[in-house]
Amino acid sequence: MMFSHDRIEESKRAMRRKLASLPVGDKLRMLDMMRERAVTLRDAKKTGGRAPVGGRANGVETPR
Amino acid sequence: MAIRDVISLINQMQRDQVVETYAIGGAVGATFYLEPLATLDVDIFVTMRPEPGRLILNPRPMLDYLTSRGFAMEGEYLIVGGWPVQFLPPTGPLVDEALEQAVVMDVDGEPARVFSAEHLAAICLETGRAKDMARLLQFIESGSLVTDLFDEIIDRHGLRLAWMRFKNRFLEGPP
Repeated sequence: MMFSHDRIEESKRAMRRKLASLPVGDKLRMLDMMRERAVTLRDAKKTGGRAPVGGRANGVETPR
Repeated sequence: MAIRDVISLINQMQRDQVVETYAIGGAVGATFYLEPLATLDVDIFVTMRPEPGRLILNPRPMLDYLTSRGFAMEGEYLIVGGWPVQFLPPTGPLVDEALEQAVVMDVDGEPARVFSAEHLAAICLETGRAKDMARLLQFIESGSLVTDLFDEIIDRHGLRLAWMRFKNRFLEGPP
């Protein structure tokens, strides 16, 4: 297996172009998921890797 | 957690005349043009109508509107659909212009006012933090900027020197 820096760079650029060309709604849903994951990781860090009681414990509540 | 909920809310606030106009900026705004950019909050720039007889804008009516509908504040942030949202006043002539010339995009049937790509890029240049420089590079590499428009904006707002420095450092550096 050969590693080519140029090919790796080009494939990354192609991936970014592909993601950028997605419909805006899809991209915003990806942001939703990315944030959810970041919050989960942050909470897990706080609880020493244990899942927070009651699922999410990020102090964020959705208004009724 | 859904940014679309944030967009629905701000549209409702505009219909209810709580804000005069708005535009999404920051990483969420940039995501309309680029690949999704990880962020933990949503920046929404707003203008409000001044109350009769007052020159200074008062954010109180907006906060009352939101809290009376059950939205929680956490420091400077309003929590909507799980997202911390920061409402920001225009910070200068460039953001004033960006708000005025914001474009409307469709998000699954919901209209969203967003800064133009050229204004977002110019704001990155003006703000000048490391993450802004990285985002400006993304705009350039993605080819999403209309060069003439971007040039006009940076000239109008005295950013030509900053642009030359940026180009020298990141685009035309030594091989």
